[in-house]
Amino acid sequence: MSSAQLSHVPLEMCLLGNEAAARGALEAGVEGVFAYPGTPSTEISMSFFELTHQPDSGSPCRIDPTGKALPPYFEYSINEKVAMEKAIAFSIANRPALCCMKNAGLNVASDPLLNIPYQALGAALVVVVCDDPGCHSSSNEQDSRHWSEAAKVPLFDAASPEEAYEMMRDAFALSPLIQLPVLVRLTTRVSHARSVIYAHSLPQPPDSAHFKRLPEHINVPNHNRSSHRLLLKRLASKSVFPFNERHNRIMAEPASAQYGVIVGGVSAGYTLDQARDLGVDKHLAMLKIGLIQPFPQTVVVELLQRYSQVLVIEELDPIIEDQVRITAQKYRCHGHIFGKGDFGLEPVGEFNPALIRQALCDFTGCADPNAGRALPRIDIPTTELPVRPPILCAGCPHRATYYGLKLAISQHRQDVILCGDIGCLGLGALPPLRMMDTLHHMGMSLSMAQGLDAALARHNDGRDRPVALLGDGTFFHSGIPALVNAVYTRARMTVIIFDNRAIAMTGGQPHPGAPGGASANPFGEVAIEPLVRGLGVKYVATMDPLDLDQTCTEIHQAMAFEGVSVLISKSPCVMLATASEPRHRVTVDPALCRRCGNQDAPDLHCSQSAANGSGLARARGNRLAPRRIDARAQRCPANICNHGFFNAIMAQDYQAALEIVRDKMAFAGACGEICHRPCESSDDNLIPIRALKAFASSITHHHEDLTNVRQRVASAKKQSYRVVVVGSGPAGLSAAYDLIQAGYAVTVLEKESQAGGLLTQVIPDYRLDKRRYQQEVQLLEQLGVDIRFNTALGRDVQLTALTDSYDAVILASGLDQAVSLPLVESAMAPERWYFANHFLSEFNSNTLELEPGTTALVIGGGNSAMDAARAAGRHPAVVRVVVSCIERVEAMPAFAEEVNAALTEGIEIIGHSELHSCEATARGARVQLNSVSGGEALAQIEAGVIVVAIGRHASDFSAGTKTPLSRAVDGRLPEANDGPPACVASHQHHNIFVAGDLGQANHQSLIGAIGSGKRAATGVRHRLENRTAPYEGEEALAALQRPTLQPLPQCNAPPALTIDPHQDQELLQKFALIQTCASCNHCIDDFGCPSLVLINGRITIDQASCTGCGLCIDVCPNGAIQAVPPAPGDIRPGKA
Amino acid sequence: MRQSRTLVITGIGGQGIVYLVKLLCEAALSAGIQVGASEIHGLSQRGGSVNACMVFGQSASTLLGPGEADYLIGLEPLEAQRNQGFLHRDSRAVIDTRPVYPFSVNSGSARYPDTRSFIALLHTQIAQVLPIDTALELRATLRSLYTLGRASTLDDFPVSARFLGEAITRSTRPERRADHLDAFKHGCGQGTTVPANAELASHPTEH
Repeated sequence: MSSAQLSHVPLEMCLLGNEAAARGALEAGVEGVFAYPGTPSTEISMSFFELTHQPDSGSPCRIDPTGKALPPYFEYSINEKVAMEKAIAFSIANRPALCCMKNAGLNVASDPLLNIPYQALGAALVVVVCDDPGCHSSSNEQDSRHWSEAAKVPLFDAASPEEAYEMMRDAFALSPLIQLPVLVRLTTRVSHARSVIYAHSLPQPPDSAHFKRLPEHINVPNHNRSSHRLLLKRLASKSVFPFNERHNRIMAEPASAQYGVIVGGVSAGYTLDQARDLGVDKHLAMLKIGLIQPFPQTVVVELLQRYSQVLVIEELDPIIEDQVRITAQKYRCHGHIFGKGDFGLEPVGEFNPALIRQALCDFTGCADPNAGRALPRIDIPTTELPVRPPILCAGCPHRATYYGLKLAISQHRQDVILCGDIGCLGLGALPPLRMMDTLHHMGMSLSMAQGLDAALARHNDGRDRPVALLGDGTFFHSGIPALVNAVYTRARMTVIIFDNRAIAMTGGQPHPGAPGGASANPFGEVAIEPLVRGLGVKYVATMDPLDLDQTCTEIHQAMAFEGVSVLISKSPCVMLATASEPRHRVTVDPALCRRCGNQDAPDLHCSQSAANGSGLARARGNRLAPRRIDARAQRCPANICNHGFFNAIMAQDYQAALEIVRDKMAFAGACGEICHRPCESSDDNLIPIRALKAFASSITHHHEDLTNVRQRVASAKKQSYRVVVVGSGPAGLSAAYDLIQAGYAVTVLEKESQAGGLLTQVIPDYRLDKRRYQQEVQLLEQLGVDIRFNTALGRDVQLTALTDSYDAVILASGLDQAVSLPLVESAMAPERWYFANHFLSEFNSNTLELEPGTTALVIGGGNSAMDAARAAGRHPAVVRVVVSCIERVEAMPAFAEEVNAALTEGIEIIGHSELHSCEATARGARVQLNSVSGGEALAQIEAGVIVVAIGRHASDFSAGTKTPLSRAVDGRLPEANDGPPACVASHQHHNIFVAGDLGQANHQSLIGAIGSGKRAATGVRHRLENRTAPYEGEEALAALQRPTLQPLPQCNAPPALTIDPHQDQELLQKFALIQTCASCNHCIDDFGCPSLVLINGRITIDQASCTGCGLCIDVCPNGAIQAVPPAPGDIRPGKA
Repeated sequence: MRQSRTLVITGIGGQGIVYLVKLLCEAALSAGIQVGASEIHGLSQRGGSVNACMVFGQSASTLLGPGEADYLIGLEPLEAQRNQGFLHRDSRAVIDTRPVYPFSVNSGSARYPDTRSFIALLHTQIAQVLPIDTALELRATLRSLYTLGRASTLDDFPVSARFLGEAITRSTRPERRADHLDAFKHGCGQGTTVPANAELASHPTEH
């Protein structure tokens, strides 16, 4: 580190490159500083900002530790163009001015920069610009040295903080001599390097301000050509020579030098250090170029003439290199010039010591003695480490706005295009928020939104509403003209201004809309809302993003507005001194966080995935749906997690939805068609679970994909137990499904030649897709269940044999005998009357032959009667269908849905009736129906066919064996009082279980059968494994259990029987199912405040970083995040 | 070979890395040692990975390359792992072992690497490792000062604790001075107690 050639050393200061530049300007007597903040330039302007506020802050400014400097006029201007223009005005008023900005800022200010050289300045005008090779904090990697070429003004290119300091002083000296603005360019590694500066004394305050009227201040075309010539003359003037000599010189030229190296910018230091370290410095003559415009051709020619091989080392574009090549051509130097594209030197990215080291080795042909350092490298295997990109701070109000927006728009954002902008809010494009579809340069959000609106208008049907998202600083910087343009062109778009009261990304600098007050915005606030109204925007609202409900409502309303609507989301940056105090001390209740609310045993598989967005769906419903339903109200006897299922549907992860059903049972498709929906029965307007299940099952490629359940079976811990199930209906197969997944060996005996039970044989085809049902039945075989067909208990195999050879027996053979009606049996010819199941199976197999013009009489009021009646009504020969049942119509045991369907199809139901007489006739029978109570005649029917559907009972398969089971009147098997669930009461056996209609519960339904099968499986596992986890569907199953012929709960009409979640999104969004969820990671995945930390599977609040804003309390869909009053002494982090 | 000693400080935006660099520079200046540093400001300060390079002694540049750091102050173990390429066989390091999980880890999409095995391996590879216990209860900035105190006890650390202590006294506001000094001295092994939660995490620009 050179202390340069300063003769006196009054003050030793350790400064950042940016601070050194500011100190240089201060010493040069700058009187006006105009800036727009932007990394990596910010500390230059901040030095002056602090200097202006030195008396308020009580601590000395870094660039003026003695506190003696007279602060220049300072402002953070609205943008760089205005900053540059005001700086020009200062210079014209004969006061030295400085203008500070980052690379992209100079593009904004390029208009004045390219014009003022044609005219006249007064005092010095220096523009300092910071480039960002490597794009640490910038939207591009532009090389601002091009601007000096374009504007034809001198540019100093600093290599170190010391140079930044010296060049700044020289720039102020040079500018008035040649009447041109002078650029000083720093790069990130200079701006943010820290060095010791030996500072000079500060100047005396001058009093030189005046305005002199000059013709050069008037820009008219006929002056301009001569002005251009004058400008070139100024640039070539002799006044520049001493500066040129000082900053462009051969720094080292040992006698042994063989090669020339030309360096510019920060690479100079790397080159010096690495050349020394490699020991090639003795072979190198090094020319350092610090003032690149006007280009120092003389010294370059000197070098080119002495060395036949010259390497140019500069970051970004080959600006020096191109000038060297031009010079070589002009002065006929024929040596070899190397630069971009040689030795790994690229125009992309920033250089570093290792890269320069390699380039020097390659250039000079020297071998690197250590291929690295003098000291041996360590040898630790590198693994892939999780990246740590920047994120919004804990408590950041931007996150709150984004989260409100996330809830307010549809889950997959089909309805909006989010046009983002730069600044802190740009972090919203990254996980976890991911709330941007476009992000360009500063201020582009507003133009992008109105442009997309205009471009898509005709193809859009009002969908894809563009939403512009921009910060308050950006709004002032470049948003205002764009907003006026949107109003003027009648764009349909919503604008959200994230007003955190400061330019936050660069450290909280004030803008015109920042609150007034000496230490922040010393000039007074220009309020955004009246400004926006004044621009002609008809819809403007201000909201507090920390109020989630308000935010969602405001966003909804603003999006519904036809034209340009503007929302101002106003809450101070947490880094500002004005940020609010903690409102809460926030804690997480472990009893509610990541707990399964579905009463599942912990070892049961759950297909819910935190990654599919179901957490967001849950949170959105929980917060916004008008109907919030406790998931217990829609509980299922199979204990399917309807809550998880619904939220997977809402997240449009239909595969996960189907898998959630399959976690519990094999019959998603069948349930989607014929379940009687006990889950939807307790209230009206409940979520149409069955219709959604039908939808999820209808996606064939999901339904046929059995990977997950197969994997579960494959990875289950294998048990040595063998279980036999009698009956392959839904009850038996559901027991088998659970047991095979628990690692059991399962055999199923089926007396027919096809599996599936009543659903296969009896349920009519119009109610059930038999092909899909067979797929679901066959799934069991594919999982390894051994189904033996044509094997009937009592006929082909005896119960004792089963209890002896298996660890457990599950009886699920149903009620296989129909109850007969002697009056019909005796009067009718056998081909003219049927039991319901025979009638239906003949109907299903198309073998039912009836005479044309037949009237069908169905006797019975249950579901079988309804199926038979509706089937009869579909037979081409049948002209009239009459149902007679002893119950009143409103009390029929059939499901109301079935009764309603029958009535709709024109079937006559004569309730509260009984068969009085039945006389055979030529075409069937004449049947007299009388009232059950009074005996009066109700109807006389000429029936061509009679279907008897008055109930069923079980055959006694254990009769005649050594161990008959005790049975109820209808053959059902009572359960033991003290045994595990579903264990049959028996003195001899403790390993017989019952499921389905054979059990005493008699659920009369598919879901009841499935539930009872699962219950039996639980009983078996209790018995054999001593497992204690209860059958999870007990409560819901018990709610189904009614004595025979009592009406089941009647279903109220649901909102829809068939539903397509895409089409009916609006309908579904009216609902939320509320339940805690073990897979929930919503607060981290979708909100992502860094104070929410996942430790050992539990979410906790990092109190050290939590600001106590309390928004996460509203974010948590489980009610697990709770507020306790702030403890005395709680202070907001950063506010200590 | 450099006529200088080099240091890398790694951590996360908000932990006060820039503050530590300023203190080390001030201290070096008082001790009459040439010093330079290279920092990163701006975007990555928002909770992202941050490192700073320092050179004590004569040098034209302050950015370090692979294997060039004689000392490492790791304010967070994952960031220390990420920057292990700076180390060489004779490097010395102080590493705070308390993890701060990045979003990818909290969201379950990435696994946090094992700190214990990294420290164990590092012990076999470099000259000296001082791990800082996770159990230490201190807010972020004080924790960083404690770590700086520990760093000053590394063999031949370029700046002595005395100069660092003076730098803290000079550059800290009076109301925070005692806490900052206590934390630092505790790290040096000179202090007795450091009040827990005496000071809350603080943004580096506020010092």
